Amino acid sequence: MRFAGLVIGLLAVSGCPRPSAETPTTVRIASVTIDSDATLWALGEPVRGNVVAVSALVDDARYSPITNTWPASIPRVKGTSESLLALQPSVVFLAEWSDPAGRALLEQSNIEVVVLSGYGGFEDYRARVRSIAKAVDATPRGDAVIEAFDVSLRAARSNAGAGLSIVSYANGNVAAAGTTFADEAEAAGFVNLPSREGLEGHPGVSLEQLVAWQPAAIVIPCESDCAQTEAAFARRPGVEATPAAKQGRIIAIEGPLLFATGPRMVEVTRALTQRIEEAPR
Amino acid sequence: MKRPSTLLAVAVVLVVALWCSLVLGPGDVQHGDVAAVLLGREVPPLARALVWDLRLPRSLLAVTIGAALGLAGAITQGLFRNPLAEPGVLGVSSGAAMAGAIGLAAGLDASGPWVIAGLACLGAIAVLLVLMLWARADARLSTLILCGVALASVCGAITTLVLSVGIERWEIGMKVVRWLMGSFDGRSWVHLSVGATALGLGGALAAWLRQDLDALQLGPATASSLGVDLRRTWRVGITTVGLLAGICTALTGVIGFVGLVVPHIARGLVGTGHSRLLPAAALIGAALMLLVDLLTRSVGAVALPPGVITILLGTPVFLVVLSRMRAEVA
Repeated sequence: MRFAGLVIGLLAVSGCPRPSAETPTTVRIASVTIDSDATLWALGEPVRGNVVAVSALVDDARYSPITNTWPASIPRVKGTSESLLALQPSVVFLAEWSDPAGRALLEQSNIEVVVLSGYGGFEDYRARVRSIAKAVDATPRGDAVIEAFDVSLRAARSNAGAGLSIVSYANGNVAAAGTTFADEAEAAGFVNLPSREGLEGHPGVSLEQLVAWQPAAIVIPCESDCAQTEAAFARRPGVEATPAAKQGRIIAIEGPLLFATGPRMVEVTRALTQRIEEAPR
Repeated sequence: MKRPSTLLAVAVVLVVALWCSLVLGPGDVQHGDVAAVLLGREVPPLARALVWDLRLPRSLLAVTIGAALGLAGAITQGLFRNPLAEPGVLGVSSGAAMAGAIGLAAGLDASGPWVIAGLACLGAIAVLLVLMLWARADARLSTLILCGVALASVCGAITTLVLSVGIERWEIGMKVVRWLMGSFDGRSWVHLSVGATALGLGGALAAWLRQDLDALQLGPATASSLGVDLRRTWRVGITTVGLLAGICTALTGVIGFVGLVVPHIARGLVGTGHSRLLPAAALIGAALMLLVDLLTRSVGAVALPPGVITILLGTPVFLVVLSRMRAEVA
């Protein structure tokens, strides 16, 4: 009896939202990825008005391109099925690496789950925008977002790299074919060396291999002091013997930008172009 | 010495493997280039960068780490009078990894390689001290192993906690994971100087301990009656193992089972006397680790962590030793 009383008491004082038996009639959109946060914002009204949750990292400037854009009144969720279910969404955008069990639970609750996959470059971005726009019944607006991206990409395209070989090297991994960097480098006129070597994805490569490739430019991620990161990397044993280090073409780009998979990819192309034009010939 | 010719063969293997590690790898480097680099002659800049800046310090570091782990294993087994005692099994490496991971997540690595190395040593020594308290009260094998497992679990949980907090910052999470996985890639002469200094100090302390460790094999009471200062022996032993295991973990991540396997092989070759066992364990450890590094560099494009290979090799040996001990007890 005492236990039952405790449970009843706890339930009575609990402020936890409990799922209602009513089925929501309007579209309620929950976004759990930074990518869908940004795309949903770009789709404009009335899509924005139907968003009931955005990802917990949406205001983190290290990763999100749209910090402090979504109103603070919209809950930030970490993607747990429990917190999502409490918001009674009708559509949820998840990334392909999200927990399959949580995804299954959402689907069992008759929620439309849109799994965003393919983070490999420009075409993948376009495909994700189409997929998001279609799910929220805003296909024409999605096409407009893609067109805006393509316009900025066309403006950023250059031949500044002039066929020079380039490698993006981070934590012992390189960006090979089928990655955002491969597209970004190509758009700036470079030849992505790992792609040319037949590698795909983000394989681990030894520092020895990187040096043996003798790349003309090396791109690395940095946190705050990018100039210091570049100088420290250029001084690393072995690296100093590469043409990239000798000719001042070690290029540090802030990690969140370098690894961006959305419209900010164009900024990387612009940054590569700018840096190669500044570097001594 | 039981089999000096086998030990000589190990030394020859070590030298051949060292040469192979300098010649093999990406880039067009010939035997003549390696010889020219070692003799200080003029060579193409790329060959010099590959051989002198990357391959030589990496290979010598593998030799140093292998020797240090072999030595740490032999001392640990001597101190605990237990053939299953090893820095990895006893949770010492996990303690070092935990302390190092905390340091990395806090960004202390920016202050230089010595900071993480020092933290890893402190973590290793802390685990050893707890183990010693248990071993004093009850030195039975089961107690020791269970205590080691428990300590390794606690350290592992704290490391996971650090990772789960760090995962919010992707680059920190990646840095810690990369370090925990372990690698010899990209290690420079600076790393080698840290490792070699630790090995030199550890080797000197081990040499000083060798007779005490011999006496300890007769039991603490007998050793004490022979004039061994048990308290001092344990203190110096703990510090030596903590220093060696901590520095090894800090430089190349957790590399398990070398400290278990190597002393057994060495004991089979030179007997149980620590005057011969300790240098033999260092030599065999050095050769084994260099071969493991060569293997990780040769298996396709995927960079294998050396700790994976040593665990795959060491686990069967651990089980064989355990079953032999069980048979002896039966």
